[in-house]
Amino acid sequence: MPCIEIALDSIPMNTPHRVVHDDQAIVVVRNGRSLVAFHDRCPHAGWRLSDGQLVDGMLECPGHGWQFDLRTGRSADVPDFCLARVRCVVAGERARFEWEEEVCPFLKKAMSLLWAGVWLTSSSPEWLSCWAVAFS
Amino acid sequence: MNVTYYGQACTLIEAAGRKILTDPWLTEGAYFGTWFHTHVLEDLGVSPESVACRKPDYLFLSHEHHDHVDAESLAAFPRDIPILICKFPSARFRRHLEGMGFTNIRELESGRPLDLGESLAVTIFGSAEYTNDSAILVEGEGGVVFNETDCKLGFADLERVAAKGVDIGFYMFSGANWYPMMYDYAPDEMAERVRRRRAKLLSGFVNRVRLTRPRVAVPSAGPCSTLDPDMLWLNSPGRGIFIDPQEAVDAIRAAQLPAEPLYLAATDTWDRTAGFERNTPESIRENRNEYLARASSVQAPRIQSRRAAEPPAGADLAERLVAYFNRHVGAQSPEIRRRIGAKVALEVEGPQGGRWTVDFTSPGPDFVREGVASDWTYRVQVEDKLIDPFVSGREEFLEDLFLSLRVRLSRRPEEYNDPLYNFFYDPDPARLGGWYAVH
Repeated sequence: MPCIEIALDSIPMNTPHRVVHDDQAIVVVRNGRSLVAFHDRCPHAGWRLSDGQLVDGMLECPGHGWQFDLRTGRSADVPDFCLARVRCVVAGERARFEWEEEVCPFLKKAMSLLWAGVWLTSSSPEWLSCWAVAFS
Repeated sequence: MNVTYYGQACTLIEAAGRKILTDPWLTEGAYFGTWFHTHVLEDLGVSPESVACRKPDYLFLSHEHHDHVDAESLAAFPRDIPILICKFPSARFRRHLEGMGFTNIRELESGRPLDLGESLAVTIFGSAEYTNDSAILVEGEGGVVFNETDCKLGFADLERVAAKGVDIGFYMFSGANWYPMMYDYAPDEMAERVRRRRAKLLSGFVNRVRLTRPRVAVPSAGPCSTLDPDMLWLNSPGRGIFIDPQEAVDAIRAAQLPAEPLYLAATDTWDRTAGFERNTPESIRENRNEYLARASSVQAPRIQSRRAAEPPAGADLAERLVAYFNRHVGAQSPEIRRRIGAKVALEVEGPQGGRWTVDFTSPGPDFVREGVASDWTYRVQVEDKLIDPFVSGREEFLEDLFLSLRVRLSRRPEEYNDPLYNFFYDPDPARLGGWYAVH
């Protein structure tokens, strides 16, 4: 599980801030000693949320304006979409972040195509037997 | 390398001795007579025939919406013209074009350049969303043209576009659908939703220009003009989301981007060497309200006669409607029906009208029942003659009904149901299942 520890003071107040560690990026929003953080990638089209802005307490993506609730990560525009949360711990003057690695987009696409293929062909006995062989 | 603009997403790109025509919507009154161009094309001497006379070597068609793929416009082009489209997860778009008689359709993998020879190459990029939509990048004679159409590309693809060094980019800058105007919000709430949506659309436009760094940025695809006198209010900045291109130009200037914003009207041209040439009168861009009022007064009698000629709904509308929704809802997996989870009230007005509820929460096999359920979550009010073509199979894409802006909509709770719209967009169970397997 990736994690990074940085000085709390290095995080600006009330503005989305990008933190990068080993090619992985998170977006952090700080209010005093309180922190929330998510993967720095909009689930809609992959824009950097750290290039966005805070609007009425929501994190707004710069690409197409989707807004996310800072408490839950849930999209206010399309509630089916939710940001991947990052665990934040403040200890003294240090802030520590821990998160799960993102699923590779190519793997996601492969899963989608596989699902569609199974569904498309599942009504045909010939294809069903092919799938049975493939999965065995 | 040069480009002639023909309104909305239509551009004729000439480079290396070839011509690529994108999304030729060259008529007026798309979506049941509702959608007109920002400037009425016939006033500028544009028709399907006048553009076909320029003999493009290729067509690029981004997606199936009528303001991009218009059967009447496409009738002016030979059936064997090479058509470039994106290879989408489903074959629906290709089948749609084949159904129109086109025989030379080339599907390109998203992001993979196609070398057309003699230093001309095109790359098509597919949408980041579930819709079949795409954008095109053309490279030739050392120049680069990017036409985003109204496709929402992923961040990584836009970075790839930027890396090409775009000379001129055409960008979506306006809303192009029914939200929030067709909903039953109180006036104050409607005004606030319109204001927020317009602000997001313009900031997204500016940010995509910022990211892709073109030398010249043209606000293009997106808005329609509604010229029916009863629908003129939709063009109002306070009540609708169809943005004046001048606002987009002003937004680029206000952001102080290096890109030169350029307001093109149909027939205006841009040349990589000679620059911009205005072929349209300045007067059409000066006062948007006055322009729309004049255009509406000219078009109103045509709109009226077109409406009067709309065929009435068939006497068997009720049976067809029930069968249509039972078939498509029943084809979904229980998991997809659960995710949609809606009870859609259909209030159909007219001689063949009636009231039904399409219940995605029903165990089946009957998903449609007569009457409106008290706990409906989404309500559609529509004329019988408008829904009839869809449930009868004469029109393929149910989403077009919403795009006609001739519906009234409500939702409870006040929340966007993405899976329901995905179903309206294309109820293909394999596509929906594939999408929600990973989203």
